[in-house]
Parts: sequence; structure tokens; C-alpha cells
Amino acid sequence: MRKMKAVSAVVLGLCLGTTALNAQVTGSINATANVLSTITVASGTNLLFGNVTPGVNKTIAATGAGAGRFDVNAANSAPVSLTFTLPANLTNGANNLPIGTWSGYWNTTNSQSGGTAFVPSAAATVATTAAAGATSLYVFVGATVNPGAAQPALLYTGTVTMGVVYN
Amino acid sequence: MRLARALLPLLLIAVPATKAEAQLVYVSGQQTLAFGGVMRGIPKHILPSNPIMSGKFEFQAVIGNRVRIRFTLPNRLNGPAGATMPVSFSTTDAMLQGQGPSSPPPVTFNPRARYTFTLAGSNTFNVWIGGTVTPGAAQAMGAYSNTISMTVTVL
Repeated sequence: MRKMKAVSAVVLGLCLGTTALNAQVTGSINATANVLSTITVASGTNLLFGNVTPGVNKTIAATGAGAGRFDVNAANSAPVSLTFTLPANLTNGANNLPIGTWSGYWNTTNSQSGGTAFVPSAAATVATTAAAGATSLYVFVGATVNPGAAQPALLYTGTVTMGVVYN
Repeated sequence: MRLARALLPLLLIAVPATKAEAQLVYVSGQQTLAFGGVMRGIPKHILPSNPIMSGKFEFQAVIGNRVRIRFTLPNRLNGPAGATMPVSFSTTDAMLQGQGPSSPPPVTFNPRARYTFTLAGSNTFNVWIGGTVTPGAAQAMGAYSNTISMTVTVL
């Protein structure tokens, strides 16, 4: 008997009904954070108007002699927001000496040139700290006092407060 | 009996049938969950509704599909020299909305549980995720990171 080779190939394709193919796909993102050092602010120098003549306004520019200065210690190369609480008057008891027209200047070095001018206010001003160094930001402040014609001859003082937070 | 060598023809039986539907799904990571600058000892929470800092995925399926969303979430971020920082996710730290103009308002859900819903109004959806990092008082300074995965399954 001859061995028969039967070659048969049967391909049977049956498609009956509907097959829903479950699909499952995964995607990924990163979660990131940057731990920064604590911010400290020290008063560098006071804003000094010196002698003021009644009835004559006197301006100390943020980039000039007599400007006040804050020294900020924060993480390097970090964006920070500066906010200010500014007095409307310098005072001596019940006597007021109006102050206003504030000017500001921030720099990553202790210099009143090569930095950035701004207007101090309660609204945030964004500055960037130095790339290196412990004291990473210097902020200078100026203003104008407006003595009245009958301004009493007294020593007037006030407080300028600056807040700094990381952005 | 001589059997003829038979070569059975190739038989192909095709039965008309209903077309099989494959639900095409993609999931794409769109935006990092970026906690940004973090202070030692001060937890920081990013809401899923934060447009810049929340993590964001996009996925696409077919309207009418019932899908299940599942996150794989880290419990820490890894930092310099082996330092780690805890990260956690609350029951309202995930948010979902379709991109179509008639899509319903965003829905908040728990990223730590599977979320199942039926696509309506759009075949493309955004999924946002927020979270909270809790740096210790002596947390090592520097950059920390980890990975968040989202799996979408068409049921």
C-alpha cells in the first residue's frame, strides 16, 4: 500500500459574532521637588534722610547714598517674591512727617549698579538670587519725605518691612 | 485500492461575521507634577486644578467605551545621596475632563483607587493629578523626583 501522503491543509476560518478586544495602555510622568534652604532677611543699613528743611521735599534714591538695604540669605539661583509694608509717615509722638514715592533696587551683589530697579509695594516683585554666595540678594530702598512748612524740628522715624518667599 | 493522492484543496471557509471592534487607546504623559521649591519642615500641596504645577495625562478611547483608570503612585521622591522625601495623594488629588466642547465639568476622584466611567461628550480626556510632599525639618537640600504612571483599560 502506497503510503499515501495526504497533504491536506485545511484552513478554516470562522468568524462568529463580535469580539471586543480590551485595550490597556500606560503612560508616565515625573513628580519633582527641590528642597531649598530657609530664607533669612537681615537689615543691612537704614534709610537715612539726614537733615530735612521744613517745606522742602527731600529724596533719597534707592541707588544713592543714604538708601536703606536688606540682605537676603536664600537658596542660590532661586526666584523669590519681595513684598513690602511701607509707612505713610515718619513719626515722633503725634507728629507726622509724610513719606512716599518709594523706589527699590535689587542686586545679587552689594552694589547699587548693575541690578534691577522696581517700585516697592505690597504687591510681589520677583527677583532672582545669586548663583553662589551666602548672602544671595541685596535690596535697596529709597523714598521722598514731604515736610510741611511748619514741620516741628524733631527726629522722625518709621519702619520699612520686607517679606521674602520662594516662588 | 489505489488511493489517489489527494491533495485536498486548501479550504477556506469564511463565514460572514460581525466586524471585531478594537478600542484604540493611548495614554500620554503631558506635564510633570512639579512641587517646585519646597522648604524644610513645611509640607506643600499641589491641587490637581493647578494649571502649571499639577501632573497631566491625556488619553483617548471611543465614546461609549467604559474605561478604568488606575494610577501607580510613589510614596516617596528620591533625592541626593539616597535622601528620600515622603509624597502622598489625597482622595481629591485627581481630576478628569473631556476635551470636547460639550464635555461635562471636571470630575474629582481618588487617585489611590480605580476609577471607572463611560466616555461621553469626547473621546479625548485630560487627567490631572496633584499631591503633597512632606519634607522633614532636616531634609537634605536638592532635587527630588519619582515616576507616576497611569493605566487606562477599556472594559
